[in-house]
Parts: sequence; structure tokens; C-alpha cells
Amino acid sequence: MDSTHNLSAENAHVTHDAHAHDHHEHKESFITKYVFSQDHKMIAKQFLVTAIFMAVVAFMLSLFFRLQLAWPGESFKISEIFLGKWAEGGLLDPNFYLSLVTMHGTLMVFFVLTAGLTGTYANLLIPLQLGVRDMVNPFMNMLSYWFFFVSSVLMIVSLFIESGPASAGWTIYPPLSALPEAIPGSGLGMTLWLIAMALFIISSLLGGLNYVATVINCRTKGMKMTRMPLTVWTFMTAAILGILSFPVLLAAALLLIFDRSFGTAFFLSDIFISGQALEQTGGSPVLFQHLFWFLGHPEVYIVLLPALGIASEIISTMSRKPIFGYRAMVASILAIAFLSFIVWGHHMFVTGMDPFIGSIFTFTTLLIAIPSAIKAFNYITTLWRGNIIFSPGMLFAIGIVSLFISGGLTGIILGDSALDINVHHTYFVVAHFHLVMGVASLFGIIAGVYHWFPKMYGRMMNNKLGYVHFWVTFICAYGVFWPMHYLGLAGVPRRYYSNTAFPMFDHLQDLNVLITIFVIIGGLAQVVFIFNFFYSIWRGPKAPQNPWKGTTLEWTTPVEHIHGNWPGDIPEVHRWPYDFSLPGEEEDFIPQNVPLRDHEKANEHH
Amino acid sequence: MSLITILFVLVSALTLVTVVKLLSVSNLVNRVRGRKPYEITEGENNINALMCLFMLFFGYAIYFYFHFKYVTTGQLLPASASLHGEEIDTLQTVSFVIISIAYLLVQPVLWYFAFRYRYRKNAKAFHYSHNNRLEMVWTIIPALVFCSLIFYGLKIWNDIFSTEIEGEKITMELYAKQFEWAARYAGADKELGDVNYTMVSDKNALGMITPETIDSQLVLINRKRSEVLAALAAFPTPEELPELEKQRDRLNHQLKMVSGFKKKNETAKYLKGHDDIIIPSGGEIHIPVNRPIELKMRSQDVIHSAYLPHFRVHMYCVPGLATSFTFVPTITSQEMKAKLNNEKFDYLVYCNNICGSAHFNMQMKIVVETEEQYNRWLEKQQTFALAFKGEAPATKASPAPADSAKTDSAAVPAAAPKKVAKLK
Ligand code: HEM
Ligand SMILES: [Cu+2]
Ligand SMILES: [Cu+2]
Repeated sequence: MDSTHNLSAENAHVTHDAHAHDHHEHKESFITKYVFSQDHKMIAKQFLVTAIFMAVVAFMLSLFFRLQLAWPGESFKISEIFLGKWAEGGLLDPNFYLSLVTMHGTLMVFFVLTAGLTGTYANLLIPLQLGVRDMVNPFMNMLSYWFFFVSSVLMIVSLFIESGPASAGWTIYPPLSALPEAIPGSGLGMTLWLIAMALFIISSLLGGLNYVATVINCRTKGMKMTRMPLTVWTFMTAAILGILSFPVLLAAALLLIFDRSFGTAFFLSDIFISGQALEQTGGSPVLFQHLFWFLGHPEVYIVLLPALGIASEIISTMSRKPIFGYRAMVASILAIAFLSFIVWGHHMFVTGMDPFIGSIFTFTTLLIAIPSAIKAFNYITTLWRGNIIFSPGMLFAIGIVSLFISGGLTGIILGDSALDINVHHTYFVVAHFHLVMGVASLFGIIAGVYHWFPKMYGRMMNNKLGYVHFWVTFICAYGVFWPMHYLGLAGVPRRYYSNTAFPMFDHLQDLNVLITIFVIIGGLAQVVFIFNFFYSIWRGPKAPQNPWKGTTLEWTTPVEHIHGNWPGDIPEVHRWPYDFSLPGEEEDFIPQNVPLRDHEKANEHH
Repeated sequence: MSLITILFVLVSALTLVTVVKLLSVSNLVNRVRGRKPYEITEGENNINALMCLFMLFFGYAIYFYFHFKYVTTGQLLPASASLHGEEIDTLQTVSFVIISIAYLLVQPVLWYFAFRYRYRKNAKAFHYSHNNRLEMVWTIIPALVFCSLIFYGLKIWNDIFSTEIEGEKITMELYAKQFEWAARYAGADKELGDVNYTMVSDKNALGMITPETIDSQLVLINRKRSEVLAALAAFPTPEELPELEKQRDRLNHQLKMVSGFKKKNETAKYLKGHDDIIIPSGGEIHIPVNRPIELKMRSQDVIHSAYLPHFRVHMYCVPGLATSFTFVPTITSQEMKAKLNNEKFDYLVYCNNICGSAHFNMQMKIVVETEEQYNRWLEKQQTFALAFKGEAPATKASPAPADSAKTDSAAVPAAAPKKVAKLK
């Protein structure tokens, strides 16, 4: 195999031509290899690079609104350079502030975390860890990426249109999102948002169906469900969540499109705006919220579960210990997945929803804390008496556990309907969901990049830069989101362009400055990461086959990517994926494809 | 400015080049030493382990720093100024104690283990795959804690929303529109008059339905409608056409609705609004202390949310949906000012659901006062019937300031309720 994937795209093209005659088994052009590729490994990388790009954009958006929040009324040249007429004289336009928040949230949740986690790692790891040559339907898999790509392009394009991008919040509650009279972003910007999201949902379904079908049908010999790595469990569960909940968002989006363009009244009623009484009556804005959060809450776990799966895998490997309580972990994943469908109302306690139903949602919400607690304790016990090697991936995995604990605990406040009354829609919520879902899941992507970079690009990333990246990022994550709890408890609402209209918030302004300073430092740390990423793709040291001494099947594939993953037969699986540091063994790990020894056969416990 | 830009670019480029060079040098050094460039040395590992130990203290540091800076010094919200809010505060304190203990116990264990069990050359990890008893313990303990919190919380939740509060209730309305609040009191008959969104006009900002408003609204609609029809008949350009047609359809609908009120001719019903008292946007809401206040919410355009953090009150205002929140204020504005030692303090309602460009500045002042002060204030307010008849647009009438009004109370008749009776 030549190693064209290590070279830059243009070089690869040339190299390929030069070698075209030696290669008869697969005639790939640049187009089929790098663009319309049906190889799950290449699709994974496409998702990853696109998600990284979207993350940079989404981060920049947050930078602009953070500048505004820290120094309201101050003029920022940089805002004017990037935002043009939306920040004339460097002063941010209040409507555009809402656009920034909206697009930041949308890009982060869907285009960075959903696509970046499942798109990248489910694609990369499901076939590799289960011993499969490719997804069940590689063509659908390719379509999944290209729908995502077009959707991303539309979202980005919407940032540049005359009337501005969508600005009703990432939750796009109508009537605000339905009426261009109410906010300019609800004009063409919202239309583009809805179309882009519809395409995104299609992409997510195409991908998700593939993942689930592959896991169920295509495992290699011996790979019982109970021998699957936890990563695969989480990818499969997240895909099922997506398959069941994304169509509901699609329905909501379609109905909203009807309301916006065809005069229907699903979500509109009794509205008098810009001097006119609208004809629509009988619709319910709250209905939209039910539909939205029926996706919205599972969505949290669609991004969080894979991150936790990645954490499980890395923590176990790098502590040289089996993951503690494998069965409890699987049970927790399934319990969380099930419960995540019956808690959505905790986003709606004070919408006027019947208080009795609110009680039910409180109950189910606090139930979900139990499997979450189990997971946290199991991670910690996995570290106990390990022999821990701090690879950058491992650090990010430990970071995930830390964030998951901090963010999860504040969920106990928010899930309690009586307490939510006073913290709903405040910065307390922003703090909570960023820690538990936003940054934790982002860490999942990053941990995965460091850990599986050798599988993706056949090279290693630089550890020292990785360490700098982790510690600065981790401290900044707390530096940004920890103080927000106190803003929330002081009653500062989210989605406020500035807090200067309320004298009672004046004494909290230094918190906002502190937060923004951490944002800027944290952003610089990401430059280190992005440099490390691209530098290592081309210049990193060549990776060995199994750099972390992992047990799972992906480390049995050759470093050089080939179609079908294994040059010869697919390895057969004989044991669970966590045979680390078995007593009496010389090596501290036994890969899954090593047959059981005689003494093991006698007392096989998994 | 441009100099700074050039400098910035230069410095960035220089940093980049240096890092790239450093990386290749370090790779080279590793190769010479016979080490794989990506190998994690024990020294590096130990540094990271030490950082983990540091994180243990960092976790404590941020907790206590902010706790002592903001929580114990009362920089956050003052104690609740409403009855149910006191219960919420207790529940919140209990919950925070529990989650703080969990945070302060669990985070350090995580970081300590990471530090303590760092890689050592001759050590071997302990193969420990599960322990059912241990796992039961940490399933059952959180389950018990969460269940007690749930039941405690639900009791308070039911108290807030499902328990009838003793005492004579004051029913009033909070009315939200982009980007202002208005309010309405039920007046002498203690019942809020009927409203409909098609009745909204400059003079009738809250869309009250009374015989007078119906007539005036019909005049208004017919005038607008004939304007639009005329424009439509005058060969509008293709660009203007859709907008005009939309306006026509909306006006037709509005006409139908308003004529409906006229036809029904339930005059008795539509008289209920006459004695209502409207506080237009820009005004302030007055409520008496220790009386149950039923706030009914309504919205004119998009979803807003009435957030009164000092009273622990929060409820969405949804167009087309009736929502409400009943609470009992327990501390007057004066008492709160004294308590906080801040003469400028005001209770406010603010909007807490994204509603458009000025969402961040959608507020109204609330004055909690004694029953007598409240009654005195209320007497000075003009009824809707009068305000409407006086052709004083309800939106612009500013209420007389509470204290200065004492002297000129004759100007706005305290006898307003009587006039309403006459109308009946
Ligand atoms: C890069 C660092 C980040 C910073 C500084 C940041 C900051 C913020 C802030 C301050 C808000 C609230 C704005 C407001 O309510 O007025 C916000 C909203 C939001 N952020 Fe982030 N965030 C970051 C990363 C992320 C990540 C990784 C996610 C992924 C889940 C995310 C998802 C969201 C969402 C969903 C919202 C809500 C948007 C809305 O209100 O419609 N953010 N962010
Ligand atoms: Cu949720
Ligand atoms: Cu509002």
C-alpha cells in the first residue's frame, strides 16, 4: 500500500497518478477517494474536519457576544471588521447579538457536537471495533456526509445575508421565529435555518440507520453484544435516540414552515403585531416547545453519550484496568436513553403547562440522575489502583468526568420544578448545560482526536502541545462557566444584549469581564490544538500499529488505511474488550482477538 | 491601528515558525536518544499527575472563592419577598448543601486517584472489573437522596400551584408586548373585563372589549380597509401586491371578529371592562403587602416571560394561552430598601424569554406597599371607561406619582367607581 493519505491533498493526487498502474485492486480517483468517498474512515475524517471548521466559526460568534457582555457600549474594531454593518463603529447591533447567540448555539449543538461526535467516531469506530469491513450501506453513509455538508454550507451562508441569520434562539420558539415583523432574523435567515436543519436531520437519519444496522447485523465472529466496547454501545444508543427523536423536530420544522409561509396556524394564535391582527387563531406556541424538546432533551444525550463512551474506552485503556462495572455501564446507558424520552417537560415548567404534568417531569428528571451517578462512580473506581498514563486523550477523558460531575449536580437544582421557577432561563442554565453537555461533549471530540489520531491519519500528535492544550482549556472551561452560576443565582437572564438596563446587576459586571478573559485565553489554547492537528497530519511522527496498547480490534488493522480495513481475514473475537492487567499475565493487556487460554476457559466471567 | 495589525501578523507568524522548528528539533533529539517521539516519559507523566493534584485544590478554590465572595456576602438575590418564595429558598439551600457536599467529596477523589495511581514502572494495575455490592451502594444512596429531594420539591410545587391561598385575592393582569409591560386591575367589580387581540388599537392598547371600543374599532378598521382596497384597485406593482393582499385578508378577518362582538350584543358582559384600571407601559404596578396577588399573563405578539426574581415568580406570557401565577408579597418596597440599605432598590418584573431586539430592557417597576397606601393609590387611578372617553390614549396617560398625588387627588376623581355604576 502506498501511503497517499499521509500527503497533502494535491500531492496525493499526483502520487496517485504516478502509481496508477501498480494498483489494480481499487482504482480510485481523487474524487472518489477524498470527496465522494464511501469508505467509513474517510467519511469520519470528513465529518471531523467539517465539525472543526464549524467549531471555529461557532467559537468566533461567542467571542463577539462575549466582548459585548463584558464591555457593553465599548467599540471593538475586531467586531466591525468581521461583522460589518452589524457592528457599525464596533458597536454590536442588539438584533445581531441575538443572531450570534442563536447561530452559536445551533452550530455548537448540531454541527459541532452531533456531527463531530457521532459523524466522526461512530463512523470510524463501529466498523473498526466490531470487525466489519464497512458500514452496511456505504452509499447511504456517503450521502449522510453530503447532506450534512450542504446543510453546513446553508447555515454559513445564512450568516451573510442582508436581513441577518436566524435570531430566535437555537430553540427557535414561535411566534418569534415565525414572524419577520417581530425580528429581522425571522425572515430569510430563519428560512435558511429551517431548510438547513431539515437537511441536517436527513443526514443524521441516514447516518443513524446505518450505525444501528451495522451494529446489529455485522459484528465479526465472537463479537457478542456483551463483548462490544462501551464506545459502540453509546454510538448505537445515541443513533437510536436520534432516529426516534429527530423526525419529531423535522415535523415541528415543517409545521413551522407552513405557519411561516402558508398561513396555517399550528403554533400561532391571537397575535397583534406591527399594527395588524393576524388571521391565525387556535394554534399553540407551547405545542412547538413540546415538539422541540421531545428532540431537544434526547439531543443532549445524543451528544453526551458518545463522549462518555469515548471516556470509558480511553480511561480504561490508559489506566490499564478494565472499565469498572461494564454491565452497570451498559445498563446505565440504556436507562439514560429510555428516560431521556420522558423528561423533556423540564424545559417547560413555567410555560403554563399543567402543574401536575410538571410534577411527573420532575420525577422522571431526577430519576435520570441515578444512572448518571452510577456512571460517575464507575469512572472513578476505574482509576482506583490503576497504572495511569496521562496521554492528552486520557487527560481530556478525566476532564469529561470532572465536568460531568460538576454539571450534573446543578441539574438537580434545575430538574426540581419548584427550584426551576427562579433559575429558569438564567445564566445558571447556561452554566449547567455548558459544563455537562457543551464542554464535556466537546472534550469527547478532542479526547477522541488525540486517542484515535493514529488510526485516522497514521501519525501521532504532539503530546507536549496536547498537555498545554488540555490544562489551559480545562481551567478556562471552569473559568468561563463556573462564574455563570452566580450570575444566574443573582437573577441575570440569558439572551440579554447587556445587563446595564438593570442597576441591580451592576456589581456583577466584573464577573462578566472575568468570563470573557477566560474565553479569550481558552480560544488561544484551541489555536494550539488546531495547529497540532494539521501539523501532525502531515509532519507528525509515524504511528505504530497499537500506540496505546489497546485491546480493541481497531488496533489490529494496519496503520495504512485500506478498503475493507483488514488485509486478510477479519479477526475473530474471543473475549471482552477490557482484559487489562490480568493477574499472572506477562503483558498488561490481551487484545480481543487472542483466544482464551485454557485456564481462562474454566472461569470465564463475561 | 494598521501598525498593530502588521505587528500582530508578524508575531503570529514568528510564533508559528518557532513552534514548527521546535517540534522538528524535539523530534530529532528524541530520535538521537533512541526514544520514540510520541513516547510519554515518566517525567511528563509525573508533571501531569501533579497537575491533577493541583486540580483537587483548584476545585476547592473556585468553590470557596465564589462562595465567600458572592453567596455569604449576599451579593446574589436577597431573601425571598414572597410567601412561597421562602419555601423555595429553603429547598434551594437544602439542595445546594447536598450538591455542594457531593461536589466537594467526589471531585477530589477523582483528582486524587488520578494523581495517586499515576504510572509507575514496576507497578501493575489491579484487575478489578466489578463489585455488585459496591455498585448497589452507590445506586441506592443517590436514589434515596434524589427521592427525598423529589418529594420535598413536589410538595412545594403543589403548594405553589395547587393550593388555594387564604385571604382576599387581588386579580390583575400583566400584559406583555414588544418591549413593554402594561398591567390591568379588575376594578370595583373585582372582575377583569373581556379582551380580544383584534380590539387592540393605539387608544386601546390592551384590546378591551366595551361597547365604546367596539364602535371605535369598527370605524378604524373600515377606514384602513377602504384604504387598502383603494390601493389594491389602483393597479399596485407586483412587489406591492402580496403585501396589500395580506393586509386586506387580515383586515377582513379583524372586521369579522369585531363585528361579531357587536352582533352578539351581550352588552352586560362587555360592561365589565369599564371599571378596569389600566397601567400603561411606563407606569408602575402597585400591590399591597400580605395579600394574595393573582397575576394573569397575556401577550400581544410573541412569547415573553414575566420574571419577578425577588418574589420567586416566573411565568411565560404566551399569545393565545392564559397563564397565571399567584403569590403573596411579604416585604414592602420600603422595607426592602432598608433591608438592603439601598435607597435605589426597586422590585422589577423583567422579560425572561427571548422576544426581540430590546428583550434585554423590557421591565416594569413594582411597588409593594401597605394596604392603606395601596388603596389610596388605587383610588387615584382612572378607570378604563373614563380614560377611553377622555380620548386620552391609554398608552400615554402617565399615572400620577404616588406621593405627589396626595395634593391634587381631586384632579382625578376618587369617585370613579360611582361613574361606572351610572353607566350600568
Ligand atoms: C467556546 C466557548 C463557549 C463560550 C464562551 C460560550 C458562551 C455562551 C454564552 C455566554 C451563551 C449564552 C448567551 C446568552 O444567553 O445571552 C451561550 C449560549 C449557548 N451555547 Fe455556548 N459557549 C461556548 C461553547 C459552547 C459549546 C461547546 C456548546 C455546545 C453545546 C455551546 C452551546 C450553546 C447553546 C446551545 C447556547 C444557547 C443558545 C441560545 O440561547 O439560543 N456553547 N454560549
Ligand atoms: Cu432536558
Ligand atoms: Cu419580552
